[in-house]
Amino acid sequence: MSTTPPVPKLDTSQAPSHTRQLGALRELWKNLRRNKSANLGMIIIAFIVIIALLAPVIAPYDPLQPMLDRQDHRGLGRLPGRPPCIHVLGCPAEEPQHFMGLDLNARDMFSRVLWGAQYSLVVGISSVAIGIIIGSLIGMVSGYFGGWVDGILMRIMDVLLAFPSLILAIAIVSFAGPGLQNALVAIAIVSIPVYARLARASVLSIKEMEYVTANRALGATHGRMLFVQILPNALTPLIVQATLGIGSVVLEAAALSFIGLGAQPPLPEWGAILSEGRNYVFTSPHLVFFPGIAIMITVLGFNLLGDGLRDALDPRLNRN
Amino acid sequence: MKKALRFASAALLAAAALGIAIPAFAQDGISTMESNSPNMTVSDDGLITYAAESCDYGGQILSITAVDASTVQFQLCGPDGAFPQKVAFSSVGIQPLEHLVATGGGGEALYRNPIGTGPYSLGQWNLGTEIVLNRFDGYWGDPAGEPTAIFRWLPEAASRLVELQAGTVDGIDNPGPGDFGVIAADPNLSLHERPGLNIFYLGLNRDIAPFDNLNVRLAIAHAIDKQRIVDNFYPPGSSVANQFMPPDIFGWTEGFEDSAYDPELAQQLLAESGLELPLEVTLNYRDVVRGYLPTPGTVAQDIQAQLAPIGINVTIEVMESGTFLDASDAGELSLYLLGWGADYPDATNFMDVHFGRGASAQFGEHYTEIEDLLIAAGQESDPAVRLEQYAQVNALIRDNAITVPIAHGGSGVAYRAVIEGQNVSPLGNESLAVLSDPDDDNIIFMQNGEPAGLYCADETDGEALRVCEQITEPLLGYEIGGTAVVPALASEWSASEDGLTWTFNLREAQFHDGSALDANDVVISYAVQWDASNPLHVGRDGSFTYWTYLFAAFLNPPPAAE
Repeated sequence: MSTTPPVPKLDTSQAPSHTRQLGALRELWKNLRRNKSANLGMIIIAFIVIIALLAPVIAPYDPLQPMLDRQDHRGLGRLPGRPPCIHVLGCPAEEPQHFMGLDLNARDMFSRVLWGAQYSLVVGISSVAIGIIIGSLIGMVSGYFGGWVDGILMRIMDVLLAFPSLILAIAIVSFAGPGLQNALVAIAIVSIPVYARLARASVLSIKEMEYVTANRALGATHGRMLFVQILPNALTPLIVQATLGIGSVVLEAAALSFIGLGAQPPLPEWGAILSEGRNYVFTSPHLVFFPGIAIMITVLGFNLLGDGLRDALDPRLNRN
Repeated sequence: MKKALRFASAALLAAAALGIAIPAFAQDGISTMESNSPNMTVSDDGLITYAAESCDYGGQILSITAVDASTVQFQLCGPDGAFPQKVAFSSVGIQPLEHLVATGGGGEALYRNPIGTGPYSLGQWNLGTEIVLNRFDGYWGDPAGEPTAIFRWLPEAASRLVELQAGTVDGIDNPGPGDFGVIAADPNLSLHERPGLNIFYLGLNRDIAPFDNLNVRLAIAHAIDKQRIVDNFYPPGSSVANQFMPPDIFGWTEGFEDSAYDPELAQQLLAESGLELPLEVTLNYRDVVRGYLPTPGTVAQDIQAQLAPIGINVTIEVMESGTFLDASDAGELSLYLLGWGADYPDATNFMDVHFGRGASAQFGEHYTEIEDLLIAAGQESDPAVRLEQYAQVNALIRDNAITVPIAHGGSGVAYRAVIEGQNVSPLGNESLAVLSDPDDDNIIFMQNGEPAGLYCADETDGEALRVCEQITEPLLGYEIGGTAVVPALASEWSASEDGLTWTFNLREAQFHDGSALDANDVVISYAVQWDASNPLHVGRDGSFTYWTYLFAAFLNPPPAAE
């Protein structure tokens, strides 16, 4: 008489349940709120996002339209490059108010810098989104399947990583042609290997965990394994990297625009504004000061938040 | 005569009999030229003549003859009132025959190592950094003010000004338009405004849609507010252009009325063009500061803003300088910003270069009516008749909206106040030899860019020409700080009554390599540019662009590609 061997009892309790994930998010938020730098970062980002969304409402002038033909600017003499005029700070009342002055084409700098927030945020978030989606997918497939798939994908990533990121972005934009869209794609491509490496490392450790082995033994498909069991647990480092990455991307986009490969005139992208004014830094410092400050504050905000997120998600730091 | 004998193959035996050593390479070079060119002959006493078979080849020169060791004679195909101005231009600077032969007429050995008769000789060219010139003690004229002159370069006007303020350079070219006031207010600096002997224009190529439509071209001509551009983006001393040459150039039409600024008419013309609006066009430019266009980016954006209301959406595309020039010359650009600075003060330098038979394809298919008028004007000796011919050319350019002349850009040169002999040239050829610095024993001049080469027969960039002008000299020259023609290597010159024969008497001068100037040097310096089949017609890239600008055509040009 034969007996059916007992089915080994597998421990699937480590698999993250919905409730446990919510709990982790609550814990994360609590940790973030305790981190002063992260709070400052969130405030800065919220401020930039509000400016970007409300730019069409709060910008006093058309950011693309020179003031040269406007009746209210007649009689002011040479308009391009005029310094800021703020009435409460002593600027004559009869002169139209321009908080950040006029640029070299006699356009209102304040309006351009406000609108520039839209371009910088769109480029930053879109590039990181593209980079994280493609990079994570490559990293997860690579780490999960291993073998020759891993070998080929990671060597490609190694090749991309071997280039300095900005040089690679310049090469891609030079090939595709200058423009904000191409710059966005180039920066996204450049960031793919970083996310791919990160995702692969996470997958390599997660796929050896017991709940994964259990689900595999229960016949879960590769897709379910990757996207339901592994991805949610690999997200943490990716989110931190993405937050930090947005700051870098804003800088890279500004750099590409600065050298004429990113946003094309007359788009008020901050790097492009900076580039247009760079030859007049001594005679009209406002042309580079305001876009420079805008870039710095935005990058600072994302970096502070990214650092805070990393700390909040680090279990060792939590214990401390 | 001694040197003439040295290089004449027909006189080699005689020279040998006289005991004159003839370098083997020079013998080979002369022999090669003689055997390869039916246009070159050498007399029994060793004097070279280079002659076209006839004037059918389309150029202005029929022959160049070394009459004796110190006399050169040019036979022209037609009278040319601007001939002295042309032979004073730096692209026809004279180099020793031996040097041209030894270098094969081109390559780095020539364009990185020019040998001339000028007040300075090339000392060292530290690529990417500076060009050091040494005072030439054997100079025929007044010796240079300082033992060393140095050219450096930085593309940004603000950076050049910082260098000048810091005292690390003694003079700078092209201060930024916004910096004129800063320099004028600084007691340690002195500013010299350079009159706008140039033209900035908006190029339209009628071979490329939508600019093949006359109404579109006319609409653009009426839509551009030139006064607004000059008032806001140009430095003091600039003016609005109403024709394709500045007022100080002979040939300028007094009282000429250009297409008036009329945006409503522009809109109407565009509506009548039959094209779907708005039009989408690309405006190309190079981000290089020139006297005619001191702020390319802002002007491009203003033109973009001016054309938008009439229904033309402009996409701006910045190109690398060399690529941009090649593309515009090849007729590949439809709408672009370009300009021209005077090389010599005559209408031919503006008109023939852009609209003549040898002009590039930058405006698309040539206008034969204009070409015929320009040929006639170039050969006309009566100034009144010439003026009338150029007035007709101006009218044709306006009526066909071939291009939109916009501005004559004033620019400037700034020096440290203590520098003596400060000068600024309307032609951009400031002389460093007359400068002296009481603080040290060198003059450092900073310009916009590094020359591509210093064999200026095959260069067109002003950055190269200015350096060449310190080293090599043509037969005639321009007065320092002006445009009047003055003697240079030729101490005297004369023209026959019919204006077809020009004779130049050379002064006693020495090249930097120690050899003496003679008539054969002049003939060969011209011939290697003129004759496209000459084995020494090599240069840096072989285009010898200025030759066709000056003298209409090459001798023995290669057959046109099918």
